[in-house]
Amino acid sequence: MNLLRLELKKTDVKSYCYAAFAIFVCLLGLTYIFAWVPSLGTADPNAVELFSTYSGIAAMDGAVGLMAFSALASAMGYRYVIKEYSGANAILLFTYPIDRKSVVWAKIKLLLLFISITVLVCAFGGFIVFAITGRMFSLVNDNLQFIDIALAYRNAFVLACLTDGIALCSLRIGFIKKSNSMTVISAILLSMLLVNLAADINQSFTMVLGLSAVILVMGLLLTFNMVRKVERMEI
Amino acid sequence: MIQTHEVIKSFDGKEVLRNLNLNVERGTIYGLLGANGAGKTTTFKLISGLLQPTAGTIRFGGGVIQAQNKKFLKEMGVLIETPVFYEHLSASENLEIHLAYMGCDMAAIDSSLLLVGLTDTGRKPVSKFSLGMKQRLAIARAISHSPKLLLLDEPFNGLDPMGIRQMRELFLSQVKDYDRTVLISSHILSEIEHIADRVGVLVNGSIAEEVSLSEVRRTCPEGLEDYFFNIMSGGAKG
Repeated sequence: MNLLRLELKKTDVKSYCYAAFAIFVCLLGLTYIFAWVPSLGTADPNAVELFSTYSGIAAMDGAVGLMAFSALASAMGYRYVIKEYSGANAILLFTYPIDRKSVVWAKIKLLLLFISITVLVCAFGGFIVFAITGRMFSLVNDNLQFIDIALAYRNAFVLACLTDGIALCSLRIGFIKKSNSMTVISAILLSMLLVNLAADINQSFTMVLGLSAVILVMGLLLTFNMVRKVERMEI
Repeated sequence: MIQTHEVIKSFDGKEVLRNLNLNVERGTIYGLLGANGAGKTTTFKLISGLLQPTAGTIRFGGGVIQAQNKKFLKEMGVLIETPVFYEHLSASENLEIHLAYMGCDMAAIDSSLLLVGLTDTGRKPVSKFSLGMKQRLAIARAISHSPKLLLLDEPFNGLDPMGIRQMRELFLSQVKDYDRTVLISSHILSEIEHIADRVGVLVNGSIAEEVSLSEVRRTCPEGLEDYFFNIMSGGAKG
């Protein structure tokens, strides 16, 4: 807990909070655009059906959010984990009489905590804002029910797990060359592979949940490997 | 205080240090000299446990230094290469984090900043500091947890003449008043001449000469600079 508090103290999360807020605003704007799609008179009945329900709009929002949050998580992961173990930063860190493993885990915990909270707040919070205004101004041809809110919360939770998993996988990939671009690009590529599935979360929930668990476990295994590398690192 | 015995360090099969035998006595200032790439920074990294020797042993205060040994790390104040800081934080906040990691009392923050002349920086983030101010802060960080050994690799970098003099006096007082040991490297040989008790000259990864400053003055009245160049040009021992 003490190490986590220290990490929080030395981490300048302000810029990432701004970035998260920008994603929140963009996602919210996109939600209103999604709700507008059926009134455009599109010929695709599937699209009309998808964008005519609160749960459908929330699922699409989640899919777009997955890519945005994965990019954010990887950029943050590079700055607060990978960069800390390169060059002079590593010299500073390794001259402290603290277990290297504990320090790197504290950093990773902080990253996952920030990303999970951000995804939950932005995805679920955004849905709540949209649901309230949608009901007030009849933006969606659907009756908002408690199940829609529960589904949105459940989906946001799975989305958070998936984003955490992608962040951990990209962190390990980026750590190979200690490269920012490698970290972010790998996160975007991974999220691109999963975005279709995330959009189909309401229909294939078990599959998405299972896949999220697999990605998260894979990410954790890769992180264990990275921590071992850090333990043996020479600068 | 520090003894290295037949230390070898290789990177990808290339020997950077060859049979390094260094002896730094407690309560003294030892100047480690050498051309660029001679192995000074590698020596500092080996002593601070950032690198593991390929062969040989390094002893610190009687015990053999091993990687990530918390006890040794706590007793060392390290300044190696360009110092880094948490740039969005102030000087005192940076020291606060350092002391928290070191498991020390925060009372040393103000006194350390006073010693390096950084008391008036207030809430100013380190990102707005000049190179010299950052160097002073790095020195404050190295001494703040009252280490027994100070490892200072090019500590005069970026300092103005006033700063150099202040830091020189600070290093001398660390030894005289607190019985600390200092291992220092610098390309400003006149500074080393002012403060060191002994010097070792690294040539191609091993100590070519290890002498006291009084011996340098005796054999080479022109001073340390000439002595150093004499060794570098392959001159015989004085």
